[in-house]
Amino acid sequence: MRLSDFKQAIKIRWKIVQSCTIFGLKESLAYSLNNWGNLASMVLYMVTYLIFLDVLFGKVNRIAGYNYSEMLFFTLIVQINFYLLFIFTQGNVETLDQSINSGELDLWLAKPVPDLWFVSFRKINLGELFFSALPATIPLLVILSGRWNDFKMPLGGIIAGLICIFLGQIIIHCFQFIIGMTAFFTGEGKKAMSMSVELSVFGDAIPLEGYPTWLKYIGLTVIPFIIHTALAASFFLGKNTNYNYLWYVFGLAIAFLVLKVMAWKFALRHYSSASS
Amino acid sequence: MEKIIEVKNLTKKFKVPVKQGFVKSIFIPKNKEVVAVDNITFVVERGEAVAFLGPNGAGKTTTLKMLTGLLYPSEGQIKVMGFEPVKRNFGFLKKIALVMGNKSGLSWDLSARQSFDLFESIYGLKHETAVKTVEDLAELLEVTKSLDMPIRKLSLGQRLKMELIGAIMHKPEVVFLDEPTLGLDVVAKRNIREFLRNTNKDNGTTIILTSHDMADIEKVCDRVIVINKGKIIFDDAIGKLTGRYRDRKYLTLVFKEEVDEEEVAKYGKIVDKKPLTFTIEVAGEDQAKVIAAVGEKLPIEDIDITHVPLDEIMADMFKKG
Repeated sequence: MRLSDFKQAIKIRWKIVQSCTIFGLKESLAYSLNNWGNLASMVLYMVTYLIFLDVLFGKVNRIAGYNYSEMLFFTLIVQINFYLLFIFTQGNVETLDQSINSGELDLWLAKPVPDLWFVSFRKINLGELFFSALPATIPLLVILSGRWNDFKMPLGGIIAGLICIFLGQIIIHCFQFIIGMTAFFTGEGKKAMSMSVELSVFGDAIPLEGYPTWLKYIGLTVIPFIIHTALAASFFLGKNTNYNYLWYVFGLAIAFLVLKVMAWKFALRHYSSASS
Repeated sequence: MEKIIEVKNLTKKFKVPVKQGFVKSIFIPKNKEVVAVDNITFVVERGEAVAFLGPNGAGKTTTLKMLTGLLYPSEGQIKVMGFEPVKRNFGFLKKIALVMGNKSGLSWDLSARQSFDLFESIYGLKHETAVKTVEDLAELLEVTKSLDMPIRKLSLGQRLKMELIGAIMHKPEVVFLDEPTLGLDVVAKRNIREFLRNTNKDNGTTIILTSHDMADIEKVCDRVIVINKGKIIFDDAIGKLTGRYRDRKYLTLVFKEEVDEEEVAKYGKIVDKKPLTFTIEVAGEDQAKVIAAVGEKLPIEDIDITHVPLDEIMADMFKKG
């Protein structure tokens, strides 16, 4: 591929992300009452969870080696990752499933866009950031605000943690999409998608050090629920300083990206389209 | 004339599950092969308006989907503007448009104009050009006032017009339409047919259309490819199709008073009846004799002579096919 073609390919993809972000924001604002209802629900959930943590740490000093403040920070990492998934991945997988089932995918496949990139970022729901993520995180940030001195974050750990979140999001995005593509063969994939979401958030309540070894291996390989949350938090808090893990995570991200592309090409080849 | 679509020995087979017992179907599923398109060959030249016609399940939409790259052929070759559709080359996708009568490419929650903004980015159109094109097309289709209403609030006819605008705002060279007038009222159908006809004649846009509505075919297209059970059974100008049935005529007899059906049946095969009206089929060479006899013997008010309608011709072809 020539450099000019490569630049053009990047330009088209960036344009798609920009346009779909604006489009997604408009769609999410179309029904404003939905957004307020969702906000109330998310804030209530967060408050309930924080009360639960408070009660738990009233009985114990540490869980899996994490004190109360570290656990709150871990919850913040989980929260960030949850909403990143919700904004950038879940909506797109749901939309892909619906469009395969209804046959509307045909109309998108007939447009001059890089098809996999387009279906991956067709629904970027930035409204969720303003109406759910930020408000629901405020109670957590308020409690954390007085506790930053209770844990140390080495610079190397911060960089490693950020890389883990970035690559972990790519991995879990590919994971959800690959499972979502089963809809090409079954006609509808709501249950499979629901399972992929549950697996993605499986590691949302347990720090890395709390996992039995066999489950840790699964979470770092075939069902990668640990990387973007528990592993990242472990790096941030300086509990894990084995930065060689990052090479592994990088390799896993490449492997999942390749798998996603292969799965997409295979799915398209066998696509039978919904009847008219 | 330039060949814009070349199809050679095209075949598409699908695997469908065979009905079995519940347990067997889960653990030992069996499939059978269904041939949806069976070794068809045809060529379309630039600027033609071609209709695919056939009964339900004939293979029309499957053929259309292979021409647009949505489905991989099982066998055979397709070239559209020199491209292989399944390779999904951007150059190819920028030059085509696909409209499906019962599917929507516009956001249900937003206005058509907001969806067109997204298409403008996707097709890389200049903003001023895109806006002008949309305004011009909306004026032609008489939907200017509806451009800023949410799609969910538009009527079916208005929605389909918006789909058409969204599909052709980038000025494609080939437009593929699958049942574009499905479910529309008479006026909306007429508007869309006129629009498609003008797009074909004025812009030289090649149109490939599938429809069950004979008026779509007659008003929009010059050539018809009839497909039945996956095979092409006719491929020529519409005039040649109706010409095959020129030796038969339909006489619509309107009576002043009630007439016995058996009396009317003496003059020709009854194909339709309504209160005080019978339509009979007669041989072309006998029409003058029949008209004279009916006028003499029955209380006739009016007689209308027509060719055999296209839908009757189609029904006859499908029965034979």
